[in-house]
Amino acid sequence: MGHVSRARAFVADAERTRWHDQALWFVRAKRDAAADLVPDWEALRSEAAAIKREALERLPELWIEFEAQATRAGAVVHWARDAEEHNAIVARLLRERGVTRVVKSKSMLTEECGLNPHLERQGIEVVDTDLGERIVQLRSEPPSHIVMPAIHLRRGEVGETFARTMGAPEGLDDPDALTALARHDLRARFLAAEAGITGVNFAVAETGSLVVVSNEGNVDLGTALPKLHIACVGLEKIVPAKRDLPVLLRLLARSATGQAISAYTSHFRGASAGRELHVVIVDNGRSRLLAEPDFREALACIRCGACLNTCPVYRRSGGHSYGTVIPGPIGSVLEPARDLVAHAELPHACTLCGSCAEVCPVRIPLPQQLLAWRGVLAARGLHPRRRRLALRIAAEILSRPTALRLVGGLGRALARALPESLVEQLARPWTRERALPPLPAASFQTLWKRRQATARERGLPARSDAREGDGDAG
Amino acid sequence: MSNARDAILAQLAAKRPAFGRARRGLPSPSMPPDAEAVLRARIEAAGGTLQIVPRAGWIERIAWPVAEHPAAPGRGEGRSSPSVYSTLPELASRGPGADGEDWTDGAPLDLAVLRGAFAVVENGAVWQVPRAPEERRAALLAEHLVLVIEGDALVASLHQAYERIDLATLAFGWFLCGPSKTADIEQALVLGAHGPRSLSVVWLRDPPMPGKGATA
Ligand code: SF4
Repeated sequence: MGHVSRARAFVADAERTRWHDQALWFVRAKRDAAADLVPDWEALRSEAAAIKREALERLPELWIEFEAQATRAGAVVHWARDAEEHNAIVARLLRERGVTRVVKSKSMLTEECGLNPHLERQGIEVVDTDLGERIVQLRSEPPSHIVMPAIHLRRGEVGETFARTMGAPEGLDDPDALTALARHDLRARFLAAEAGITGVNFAVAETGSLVVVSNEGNVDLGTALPKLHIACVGLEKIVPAKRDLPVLLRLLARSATGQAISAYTSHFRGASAGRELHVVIVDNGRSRLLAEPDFREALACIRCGACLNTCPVYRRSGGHSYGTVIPGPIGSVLEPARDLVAHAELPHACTLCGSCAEVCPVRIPLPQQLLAWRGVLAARGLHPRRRRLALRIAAEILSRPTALRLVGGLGRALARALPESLVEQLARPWTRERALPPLPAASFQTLWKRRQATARERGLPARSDAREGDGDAG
Repeated sequence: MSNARDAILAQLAAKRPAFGRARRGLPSPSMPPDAEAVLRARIEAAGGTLQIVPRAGWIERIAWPVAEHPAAPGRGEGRSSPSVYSTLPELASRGPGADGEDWTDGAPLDLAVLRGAFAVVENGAVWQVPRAPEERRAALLAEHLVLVIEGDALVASLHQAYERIDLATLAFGWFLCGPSKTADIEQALVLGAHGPRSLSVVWLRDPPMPGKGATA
């Protein structure tokens, strides 16, 4: 099952699709408005791009420096080659301390590693505390967006979920009331938790500090109350020094939600008296991606979600259609690196419109990368047979002018002769949601020649920038 | 474990990329001439409020987010006076966390009044360093949060903010901007997701800024 078939389930609900599309476009508009208030926005993006790339060039040194600084401050640093090692380290830390109740804030890394099911199998209760993540956790669904995990749901569905799991009154769908219920339920869980697990936005090599941002304050409740804080951090999250933080933080919230800064931007360094901070540094495929010249810049990603919000495909197909931990343009670059066969459709879930590259705060060349994946897919023979065949035929025709003229003429003749419904049938799946444009009567070449001839007759110079009515395709 | 560490570091060294994308450096944004108005707009955009008052008698002057005045007598006298956690000497704490005990029972706290270091004009955030673990908890568990900044308390942007922060010796510090919030249900903004439902920044400013009035 690929992206197209999964998207079909989402777009079956036209009202939901329309709402999803508009809600995300509204977030994109807020991002634009916030960016417009920053005078040097484009220079800021370039600086952030340079900082993240410098960090990728210096990963071993920076992590060694981070480890030394964090350890000096009383943190314990762990290293995990893959998801399994990561999960084992976290589980061991919890088991050794007899922890059975954990609160977790949003972390795409722990999603990627499948931490929750791993801990639950060992009898440890993990509560996701970000409201959106809590909602999808209660529904046993994955998040559909990296910043807005429940953006695929309508308020009524959240109400139903809370009625089923939290005893909310039937039919309750007011966001204020639903949030109040979740707040009440989660407050008790924060107070009862014996450990807090968080992700990390930026790890600072120079000082061994961790920076974590949130709007809800769940990161902070989850680390201020329990005595044990486990921070899970992917290798790509390191930045060299303190002076890099303002550059990245000025971009992050503005790109993500259009806020000038998130409500909470917390800086942790080491462990204070009577408390523990453990940092688990995770590779899980990142060092492998670092060796891929066409794709490694994706490691600069700061997970703002802007490329999802602006993507015409993501907005209309929903996050779950990607079938991956990270959806949208950045997911379609990262996930094929993990499993190209499983995610072979994703590089095609893209119109190459370039909008993602326009908004990405760290200037990741997402469209070029998606195109490069298509090349890899073709080279490895991983395109579906029908597409391979279609591309081969297209290549044959397009490289022979006579063949092109012949096929074009035949196509136009058939389109006129055959009944409309049959033509539409032939043009599927393109015609599923739209009508075919009327085919021009003659080929582009014919129209062009005719036009030149008329111009000559009238004694006008043959201009190449003028437009002719329906001179469209060849 | 050192096994994984060495293996990862070796991998990273072996696959080191070279992007050759040099930093150019950025001019730090300068203080806008209408700094006060920008700060107010940013704080309000984040769902918070800004109150500027002279230092003397500020406790009586500002609008408090709780029904009863936090300094009014009352606890134990039958009135529902607010429970307060305060780090300012002029306002007494009363209620949970007041005696600095390890406060995790989640007893309701109406109000936390804490000192902030400075405010960032470009985004409306206040830099705050809790001096004790219960101070941080109070900032999160209170229904309403008041952050008090004083004197020369503005920086133009995060760049200048970090120049004032000594990260190398800082165990914990945070930027706070507006109350806890979420929009996870159909993008509808709700204040008070997990933490305070309101955040008020109180700027005690005595000598009037050149050419401007002293009060808000
Ligand atoms: S690729 Fe760029 S735009 Fe997309 S989430 Fe990452 S940083 Fe944001």
